[in-house]
Amino acid sequence: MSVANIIAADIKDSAPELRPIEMHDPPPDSISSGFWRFLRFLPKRIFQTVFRSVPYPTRPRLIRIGTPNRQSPVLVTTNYDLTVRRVCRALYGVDCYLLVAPAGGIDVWCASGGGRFTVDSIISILKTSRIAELVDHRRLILPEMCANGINMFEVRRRTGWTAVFGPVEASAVPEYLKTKKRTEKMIRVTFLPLERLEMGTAMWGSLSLRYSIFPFLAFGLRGAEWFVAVLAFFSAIISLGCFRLPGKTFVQKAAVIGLPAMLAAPLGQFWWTGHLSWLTFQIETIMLLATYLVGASYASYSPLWQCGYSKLFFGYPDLELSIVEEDCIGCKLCDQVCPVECFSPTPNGKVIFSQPDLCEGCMACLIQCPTNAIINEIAVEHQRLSQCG
Amino acid sequence: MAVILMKIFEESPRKFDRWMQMLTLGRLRKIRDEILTYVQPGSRFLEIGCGTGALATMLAERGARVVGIDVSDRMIAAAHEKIQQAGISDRVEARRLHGLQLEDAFSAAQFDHVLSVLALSEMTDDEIDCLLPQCWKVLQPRGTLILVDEVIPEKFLSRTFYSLYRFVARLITYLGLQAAEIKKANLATKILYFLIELPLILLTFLVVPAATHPLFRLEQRVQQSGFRVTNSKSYLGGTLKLLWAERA
Repeated sequence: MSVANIIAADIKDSAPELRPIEMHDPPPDSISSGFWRFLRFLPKRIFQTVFRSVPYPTRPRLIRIGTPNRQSPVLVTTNYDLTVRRVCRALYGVDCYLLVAPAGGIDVWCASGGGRFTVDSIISILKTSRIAELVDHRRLILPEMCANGINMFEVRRRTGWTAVFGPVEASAVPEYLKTKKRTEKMIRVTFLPLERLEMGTAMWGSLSLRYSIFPFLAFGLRGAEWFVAVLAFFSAIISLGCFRLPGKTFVQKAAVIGLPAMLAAPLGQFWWTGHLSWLTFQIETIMLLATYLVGASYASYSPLWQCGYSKLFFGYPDLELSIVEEDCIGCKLCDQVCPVECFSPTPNGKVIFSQPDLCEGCMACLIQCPTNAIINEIAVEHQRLSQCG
Repeated sequence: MAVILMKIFEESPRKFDRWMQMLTLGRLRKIRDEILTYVQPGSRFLEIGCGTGALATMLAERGARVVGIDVSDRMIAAAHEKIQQAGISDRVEARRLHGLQLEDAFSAAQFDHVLSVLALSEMTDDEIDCLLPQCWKVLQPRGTLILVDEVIPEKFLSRTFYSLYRFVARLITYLGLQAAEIKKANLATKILYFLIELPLILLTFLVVPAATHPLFRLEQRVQQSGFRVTNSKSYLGGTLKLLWAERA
């Protein structure tokens, strides 16, 4: 056998060469600098602000931030364009790897709640990015908001990587990486005025797109224009005053804005012109519709209150959680993943579900509990009834 | 295609199989028969994306030893049921595993044939490029890779017609998917939902890429991963392809 033959045989038996590992830089619009760059990405930004509820996917990939080494932390996020951009901007100045996992172009909270961001997406990005060849440790930092869909023990079992939950906000990640500690502030969801306005704008865009057809059919183009304007006004007020406005539900809070406006419109016109017109009636109807819509949907655009929509159309279960004390091992994981502050420790080292009114039904605690000590009483009740019947 | 049908028929996998047949105009059965003629008793098969295990059980009935993997819980549960009914659980194994974890779960050169029916089109290009070398690893030398999948036709005219057809078909299936999402609602709620949501659904449809995408230049990609394409057959005007490749 000649040398050439041996070499040929050798080549035949060795595996085909893999492509080199692809590493991407942060997206160019994550750090905006310069007027032209701002202008170039303006249409995309406007789209993402107004139609926040529409998915906007980017390519799932490995992003290298700064100059990471073999000990650098590995963070995970989903492939929603805005999320990737904001996380990259927040991580500016930190050396780390960011895995952009495929989740249908939806943000972390919605994608994991809706079953698009799962352990399978994490497996996919771990394998396609070949991150295992780049770092020595096996530790993933997941965003806390994916706790409602991704079980950290399942990640470990199926991938061999240890998953820990990081802070809620990307902006807190640099501090978290430095101190390696999650403070109380990091693990709770905030809803600051600017964030509220942002979500108010998103609600305005989505409601205008969906419902403008009804005023248009009833009153023509001018009706639709009025509807969009009234919606913008109501959305802005309810998002700024969502804590302050009186009322128990959001429909009541919207009524506090809507009813005075409905009273003021005819009075104002009568005072100005001395008579009432057909337009006044149109605006009254439009305001009534807008009041109800804004009130009914605002909770869906907040990180603090349960979305009523998912219950109506998708049959999401009602939640009434309780903790079986014998099963609780006091690991406090439920408290660590709760976006609001539902749980509190007891003197005997266990946890109780102390503030059920705050619960928004994300089910993160239910999914993460290692001993299944947290149960949904309504589901149990259903089961019992169906067994009896 | 399969992923959409799967969502729609999550609760009745039997319907899933029937619809897959109908949508491929019965060609899937033809392709299955073709694959089955190559089976020799005792050969070891790995099926990626086995779904309800229809093909895996057929292969096992001809004497092959089959391992089927799928990412969907429900599909694997349906496959278990099917295997139990057929009474061939000693030769077939259905396992919930992500396709990209082949190299972790199986040893090198463990299989004679690796088979995948309509599963690659549900993966992204990066995932396919990651999967094919793993198939290479678990195949024994001169083992075969058998792929059946939607492809983009190579002739220009048929490609144009095909992309038009796909746009319409995608829209219909997308609406079907939306209807399937609202499971527990009655008809009036469903109609209300569509009336309200249609603009947003259409916008989402335009922005978001398809859940499945037909493969382009499948042969070249398979060859780049160290395989030699030995045979290929086209169905449905070049949109469905059966490909045989040998591990070099």
